[in-house]
Amino acid sequence: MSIKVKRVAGSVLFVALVIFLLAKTNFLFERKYSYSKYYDFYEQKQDFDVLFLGTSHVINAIYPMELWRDYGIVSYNLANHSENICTNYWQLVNALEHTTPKVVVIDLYAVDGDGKVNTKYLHNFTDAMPLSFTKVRMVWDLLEPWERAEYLFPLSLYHSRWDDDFGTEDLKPEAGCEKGAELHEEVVVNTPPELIPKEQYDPADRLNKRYLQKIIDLCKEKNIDIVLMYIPYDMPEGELAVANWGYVSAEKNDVPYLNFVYEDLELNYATDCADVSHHLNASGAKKVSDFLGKYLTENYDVQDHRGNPEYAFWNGDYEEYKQKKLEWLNGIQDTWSYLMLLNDADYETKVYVTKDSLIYQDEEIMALLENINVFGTLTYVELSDEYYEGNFMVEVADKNTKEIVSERRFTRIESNVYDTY
Amino acid sequence: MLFNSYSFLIFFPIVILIHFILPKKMQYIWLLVASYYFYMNWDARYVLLLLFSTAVTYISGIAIENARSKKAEKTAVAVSFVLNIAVLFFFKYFNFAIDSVNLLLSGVNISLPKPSVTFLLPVGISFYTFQALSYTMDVYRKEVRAERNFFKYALFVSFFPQLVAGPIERSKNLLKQVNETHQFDFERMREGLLIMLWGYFLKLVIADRAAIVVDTVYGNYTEYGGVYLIVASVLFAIQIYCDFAGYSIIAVGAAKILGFELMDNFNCPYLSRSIGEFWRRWHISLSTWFRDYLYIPLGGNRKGVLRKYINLIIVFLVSGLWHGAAGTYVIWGLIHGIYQVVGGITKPIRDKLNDIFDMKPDSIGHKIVSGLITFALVDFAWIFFRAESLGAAVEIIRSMTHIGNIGILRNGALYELGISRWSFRILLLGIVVLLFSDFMKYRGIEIRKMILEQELWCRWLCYIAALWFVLIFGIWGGTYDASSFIYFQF
Repeated sequence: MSIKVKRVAGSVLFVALVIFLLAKTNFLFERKYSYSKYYDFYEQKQDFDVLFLGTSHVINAIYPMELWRDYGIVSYNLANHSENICTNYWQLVNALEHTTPKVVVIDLYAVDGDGKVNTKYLHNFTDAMPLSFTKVRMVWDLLEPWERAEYLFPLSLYHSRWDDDFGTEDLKPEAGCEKGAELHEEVVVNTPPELIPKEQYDPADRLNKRYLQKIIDLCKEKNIDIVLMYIPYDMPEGELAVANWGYVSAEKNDVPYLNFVYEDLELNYATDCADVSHHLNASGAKKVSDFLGKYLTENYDVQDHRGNPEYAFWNGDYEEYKQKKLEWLNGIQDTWSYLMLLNDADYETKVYVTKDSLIYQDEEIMALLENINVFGTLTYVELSDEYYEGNFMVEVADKNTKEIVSERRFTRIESNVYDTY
Repeated sequence: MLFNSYSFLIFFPIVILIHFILPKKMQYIWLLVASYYFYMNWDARYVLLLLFSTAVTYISGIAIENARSKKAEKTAVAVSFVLNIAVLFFFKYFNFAIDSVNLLLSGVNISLPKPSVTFLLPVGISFYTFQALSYTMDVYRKEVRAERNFFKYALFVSFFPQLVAGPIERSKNLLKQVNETHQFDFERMREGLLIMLWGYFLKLVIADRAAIVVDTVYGNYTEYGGVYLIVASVLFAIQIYCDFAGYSIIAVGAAKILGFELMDNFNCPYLSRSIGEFWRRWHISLSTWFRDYLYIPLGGNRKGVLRKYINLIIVFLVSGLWHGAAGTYVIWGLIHGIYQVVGGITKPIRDKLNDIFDMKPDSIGHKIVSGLITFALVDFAWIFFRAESLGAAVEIIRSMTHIGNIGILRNGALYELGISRWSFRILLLGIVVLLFSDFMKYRGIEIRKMILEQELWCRWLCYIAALWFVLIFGIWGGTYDASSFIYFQF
């Protein structure tokens, strides 16, 4: 072998070694949020029938694993925190290179704006996104020249993470089992929005509205059905007008629009909100998910894959998800959160309480208890023990095995305030 | 375009590739285009100044060579100097000059108006102006022939690796290489890359990390007193060395890959045992420029001791001004001039004391003590170089004497100065590596050459480990801050 050939071969090998090392180093040091959220999406060989796009409103409001359990729908929640429709567009372009969905459901909360991207949150999506021509085009479209490098080469940002929140969990990262969703445990009492006429809408021309049109056009070009939606919250009038603009877009494009502000979701603003004016908690999410499950099954060619051997692994995924929900339930210290999470089709709940317990006077606690019956089952067991006069006990059984999976005692401190042990 | 920018990472490989693909006769044209693109990346308008300086000195060279009398030669030199210094003065020193005059006239209530338009200081103007002027002088001294090819000469002035931060090359060395053709040489490229990697280590791992601590303390010097200021001042000495030398070393490495040999600009300056030696080792290209084109023309040491001392003071005052248009730089230069003068005056006394106490200048103890004293003197002067103003420098020096807070060296307070405990340790490790490397170089051993002599597996291990270390522990790219990722309710 001539010295020239040796040197060329050696240089190629050396560069390959360096690239391999950098790729491994990059994965070691990067935040694992993106990996955890999107791992299942990129790993699954079979197609997803439904993809959900949007902001954190969608992450917190649609649980694909609940859709699987109840309807056998194979879906993925691609939504990202603080995301704009411009980013949703590129997320869809990228997603279509990995799967062929039948329906795309997109939330319109972010149409009201001209910003293309929230740069820091973009990492939540781009870190796990494989380097591709689409990724380069996306970065060029969304970001300013000086911002681009850290999205194409995340090591340029994460190389210094050894000095921050890098931990042993980074050495063995775990993929999430929620298919992109995030379970919100907080309970905040909100009031329903004061509705305005549907005809009253915000006509402003916005960059994100134009990108929504690109998404609709892309779906039509690929023969994918698209559904527009608006996840509800305690909205001010201006945002209601933005939500109402969805009707204009839907009519123009002849696509359906589920404006949940007006749809009969049976949302309870006393039990289903996670924070003031924005996100739904797990109870609210299950209501939105259930509505969408029925809607998609009835209106689209979305099959029930529960008996399909090709998707049998979803049953294993569901068991993992169920176990995680239980661990989550048992780790909760807040009374309201604990009771809210019992609104779950996997649980049968018994509440042990005396006949004249003060609990019956606590409207907010009673609302949470009554809410359990929406998807779960609630049985009151009457106690005569005076000890329970101001207190109550909850016993939770697995709906299938009837095994007691959680127990909790609550002591009344004052109206609607309980200590748990 | 900075050497530690993404654009340079794309620019440089393209330049190398095309440089060696093109016919040899075209190489200088390509490098000229690349150099002007490199410069215009910062601000395209200011390339006119570079072009002006190039044109003036190019014409002066030919005029000197064509001159029929000594007077005509001198006129050409004078025109070249006046025009170049005028541009430099206008863009760099005009405001400073007005402020200085106003300060002098403030006693008689007269003040000169300042221009309403402010100009950006053109990047590298001090470097390329001095480089171009050295050519005028070298032609005048018949040390080089005037270059007749304007484009080749323009490349000499604008050669991008050393354009904005040196080394300030001499026509005797660089212009000759511009006229040569350059073959691709694998071993030279390998060595050049290794040199660049060392430069990046100095710049990214040490200088930019030390800068965080220095900026924190010097930016709030009224809050950080005593030992904080001592630590920050020592770190500033390290920072400025690694920053400046790092950049020069990257330039040397980049030029080597392209087939050019640039001069070594720093040679273990902090191992010097006297201020004179320090200046023979620090920013060598500038020191020798001042020696050759200012100190010697002023008479050097040929006109008596008093004149020699005056010349030294003048040279260091001008050197201070060259570094920046502010009183702090002038004082910094003056201090170094005074060091040299006092050093010269006290030399007989010191020699006598050595004899009386039987101290051997070559003993290890003497070397260490004289090295530490030299470093302390240099670092003291750096305070003026770094401080925002003369008043701040004086306040910092005053505050440094209150060392009651020496406990901060042990109680972890140093890790609250902008970098964490581990980052501080990386900084210390970097400094140890630097000292080791300089010490070896001082003894004539080049670690780079040692690595290149090893077997392939060992060389590769060294390359990859060094590259990984610089990439992970260097201050570059985005700043990761976990708190900025904490989910907020959208």
